[in-house]
Amino acid sequence: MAKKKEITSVQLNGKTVNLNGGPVGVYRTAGSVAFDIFNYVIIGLAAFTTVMPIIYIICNSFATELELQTRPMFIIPQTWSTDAYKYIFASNKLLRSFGNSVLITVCGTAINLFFTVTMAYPLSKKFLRGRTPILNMVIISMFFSGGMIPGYVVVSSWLGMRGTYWALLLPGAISAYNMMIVKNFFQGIPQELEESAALDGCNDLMTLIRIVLPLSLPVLATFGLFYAVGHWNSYFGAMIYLTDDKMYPLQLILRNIIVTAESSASDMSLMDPNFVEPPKQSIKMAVIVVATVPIMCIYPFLQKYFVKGVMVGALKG
Amino acid sequence: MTTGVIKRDTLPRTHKDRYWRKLRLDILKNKWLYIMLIPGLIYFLVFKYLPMWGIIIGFEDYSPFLGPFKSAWKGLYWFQRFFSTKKWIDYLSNTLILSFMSIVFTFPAPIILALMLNEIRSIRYKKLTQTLLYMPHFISIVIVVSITYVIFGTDGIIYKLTTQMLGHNIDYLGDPKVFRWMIVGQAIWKETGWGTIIFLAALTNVDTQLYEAAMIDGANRAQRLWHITLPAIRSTIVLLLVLRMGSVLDTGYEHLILMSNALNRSVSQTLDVFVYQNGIVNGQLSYTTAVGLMKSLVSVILVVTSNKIAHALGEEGLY
Amino acid sequence: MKKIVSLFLCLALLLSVMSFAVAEEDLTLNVMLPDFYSDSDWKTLEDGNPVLQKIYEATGVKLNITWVPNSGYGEQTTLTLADIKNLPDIMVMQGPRDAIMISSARAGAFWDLTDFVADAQNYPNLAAGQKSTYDNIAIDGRLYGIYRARAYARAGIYYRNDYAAQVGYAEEPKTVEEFKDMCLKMAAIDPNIYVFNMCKYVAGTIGIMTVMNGAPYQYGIDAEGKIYPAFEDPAFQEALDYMRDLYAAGGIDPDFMTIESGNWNDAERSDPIKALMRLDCLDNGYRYEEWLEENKGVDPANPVVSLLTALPDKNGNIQIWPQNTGASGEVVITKAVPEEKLPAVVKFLDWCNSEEGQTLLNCGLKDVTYWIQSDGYRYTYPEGEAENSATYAATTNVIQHSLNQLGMNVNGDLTPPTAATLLRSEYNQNLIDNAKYVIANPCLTFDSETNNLMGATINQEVEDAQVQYIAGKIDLEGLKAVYADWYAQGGDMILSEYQAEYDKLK
Repeated sequence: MAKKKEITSVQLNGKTVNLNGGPVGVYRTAGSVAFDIFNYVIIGLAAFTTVMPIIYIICNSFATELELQTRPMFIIPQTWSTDAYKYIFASNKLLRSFGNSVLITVCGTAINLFFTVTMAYPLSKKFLRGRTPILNMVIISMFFSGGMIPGYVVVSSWLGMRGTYWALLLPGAISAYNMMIVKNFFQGIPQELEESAALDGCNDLMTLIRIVLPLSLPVLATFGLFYAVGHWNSYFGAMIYLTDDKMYPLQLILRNIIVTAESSASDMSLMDPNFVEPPKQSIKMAVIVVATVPIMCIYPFLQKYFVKGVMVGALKG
Repeated sequence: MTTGVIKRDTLPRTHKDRYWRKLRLDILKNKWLYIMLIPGLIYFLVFKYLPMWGIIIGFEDYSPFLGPFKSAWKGLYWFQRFFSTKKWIDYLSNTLILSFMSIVFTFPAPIILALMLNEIRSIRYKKLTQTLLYMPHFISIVIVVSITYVIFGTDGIIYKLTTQMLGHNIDYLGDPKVFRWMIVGQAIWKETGWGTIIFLAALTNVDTQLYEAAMIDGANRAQRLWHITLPAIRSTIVLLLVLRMGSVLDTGYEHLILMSNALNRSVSQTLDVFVYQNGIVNGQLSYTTAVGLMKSLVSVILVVTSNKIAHALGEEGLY
Repeated sequence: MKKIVSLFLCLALLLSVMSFAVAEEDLTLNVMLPDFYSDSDWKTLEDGNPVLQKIYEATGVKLNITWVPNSGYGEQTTLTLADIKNLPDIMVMQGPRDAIMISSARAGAFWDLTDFVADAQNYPNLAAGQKSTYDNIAIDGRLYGIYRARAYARAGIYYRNDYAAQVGYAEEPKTVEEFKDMCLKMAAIDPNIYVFNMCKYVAGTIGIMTVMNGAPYQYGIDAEGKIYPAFEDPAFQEALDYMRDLYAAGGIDPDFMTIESGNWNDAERSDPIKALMRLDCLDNGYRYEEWLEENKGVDPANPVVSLLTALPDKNGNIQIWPQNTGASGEVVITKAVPEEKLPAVVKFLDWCNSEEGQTLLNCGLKDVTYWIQSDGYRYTYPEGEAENSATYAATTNVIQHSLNQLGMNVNGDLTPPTAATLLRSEYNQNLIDNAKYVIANPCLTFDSETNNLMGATINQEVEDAQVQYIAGKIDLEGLKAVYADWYAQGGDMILSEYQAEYDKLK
């Protein structure tokens, strides 16, 4: 693709208008400026409301237990303490489970993208025979399901995957919802591109790999992110399929710490000297920070894939 | 029929022969496409269709130990019991009202926000606000509700503000009339930021040269938005809307149960909450499955219908 | 030479017979237990877990434990029962009257243990369990598991006696009427200090108040043998009226119905204090006292929290609200155990209830997971190492983990006693003295399908109406209208189904 010459100004009705290097350029009327200010302010306010709870949780995780129990809701603690984090990281089990979660997330997302893309691409071709029945089958499976028990029996008894990570990675390999959206994105890629690739001698597979995928980076980044977040936050599969506690992912352990507090006191043993003492508030907060902050930080790294005009020039170049 | 060099003895004789010949040619021509479909097809068959025997559970008095073949057959019994509970209409109407409000308010919010974000020119500001805006997606609904209780409760800052400004109290947590707005508001706050990601991905497909051409033609900002930006994401919007139709009867139970209390219970009892309280908590597997089947049927009908409507309006739709 | 060879052969034969005999004793049991310590590792028998090793030495049973995080135990139970290939030999069933337990027992998933438990000669510890609790867990009159004992007489009232002293009640009230009087007086102390600490979870508070006042629990049976719902009892309405008066007098937080149960402690622990009393489990009372001693400098010799229970009502009867049925689930033997091994497994469960078994399961090994200090009491750390107790707790969790979940303790607590504060001793004494006053739901063991399918919802509506009544949002007419609705929506059917079962028994 030849590099486009930057147009920095344009003659319009006799006036010279500057185009700033932004997405839609600037046409500097009073209305436009007012809209800009309005836009920035509203988005800024919205961002402020969404970030406040995170700051609240992070600050509270550094407060002492006594302050959390006695003082009504506060943001800045009077006394800072890292006790909660010391408690969490005292056991290397949490660090190990962090590693497990990373492993599951990375492998899971790779599997997800592979299955989703290989299915979405053929289905995006309207001329493909059998397309409609297959799509019908997918749609029905989105809303009808046998439920939790048959799923478990199939994975555990019939496939023998119980106790392995495969039980976490394979049953969720394709989200039909995601696959349908990716399919629609593929449908939006101009026919001419693929035809010119076919003329150059590419078969469908090479077209996919060499032409379509590089153009679909924003889509791949988006759904890669969705799948990754799904894996990171999931605990249910681990809860029912894993038998070796050394394989537990982070979310499962953390959830147990929090939920144990709310469980009925009558579940714990009569003789257990620790029974029913709920995990401290500060630990709950620290647990949330440890579980969510890592995954929240992934998006900024994916930003670079959400670049405009990746396709522009592909037709000209 | 076919022309060109064809050997006499390979000419298809009947319609059936021609059909199979065309089929083989098509498959061979697109063989890579079919090969690519194989992993996905196997996945759906093994993990989605194989477990579908679970649907039988809704027609039996299912006991996990006995399995589906030895549990007692009940036919439509659970369905009859559901419709004989006099309140099912109330649950259905609560569900539909919440869903309708959700589609009207929660669905367009990410679109509007994505368009607004798109107009921000400072890349740094955009990156920063985006990251901050999607954070609530990662906070569990339990925390969202407890924060709500603190700031909207009678000691809370928002309660005090509105009392000062309006002169009378608004019982955010107890008043049934306010309940649905609280639920919708929480959902918007929590998911709008995250929901913009898909639309921002769609917006990257917009050809910037179109904008420049439009400006040269004298289009102002609003016109550029209406004629270029929106059409670019229109197919995505329609697609997501059709898919959204499938979840009209889904309200989730966790959020509603957390926000409901003795004062607003009448509006918070939806189908999902009813099924959770009586079916899941009480271990009534068959009853839960039966009600779930009814919901699934409605979902599929709605999705297929709205897809046909989308086609009629000239849109891509789902497929 | 020949003699030596034949001697050698005899010895070899003897040894092989002996080892065969010993091998007969060896039993490997797959056990599934809920896990409350999933943030700690678990040492298996192969890795050298000393407690499991001791259990093996004492009984010849090797325990292979599958831990399931407690938060998912309910789901895992259902899934495990569906997956027959991997069914464990012994598992805990929560409840003990959960629907899955009842339906699986009837489906034949568990062995019938009624005859074993009745056999006091071979299984003395099991036979020594509480008959009333065994009756409570019986399904169709048969026992399908051994219950896990929990404190039965747990419910009561705990309150701040320093504030009570301000209104003239330096001594504990002796009757329900005196208690009501004390509360009303305490409500007048300060408009910002409430008496009853209540939250969204009102079942306990309303339950304790109404049962203490003489009402039945959930259902009552009148003189003619007719079953009626508890809210029809005049004593029930009287108690509700009292709570309504207390609310109007400023004794209950006006927004109590919006407080999450996770924040129930806030009103007692906040600075300044907001509530002076709670109708709940009394062990929360001694925990409150200990928190005050640790954080507010209260003198342990003069507790400011008093525990109150077993008060006679105006007819002289004493009733205590049942916080639980005396059991938290049961330990069942599944059909994965072949019939010939069943007596051995039951013998193992019997051993679990012996003093040795109870101590190993609940406390662990002496000087490894628990210590007897010079005052004769059991501690979780050795003498003089209080500041390292967290380290010892961490090690204990690896070895002991949640093994106490297998503890059944049907014949009482036979473990070495722990040091008790003043309130803990009073609490433990209460458990023994007041067990006889705890009442039960007479319809507990009856089947009602309508209750299974509708009960939760219509009972919730009744409870909501009672809350609204207490908060003055509706009046008696409104409350009665909701009661009528309860009957119309399924209450009638529930009563007739229960009545049918009750009449069958007579």
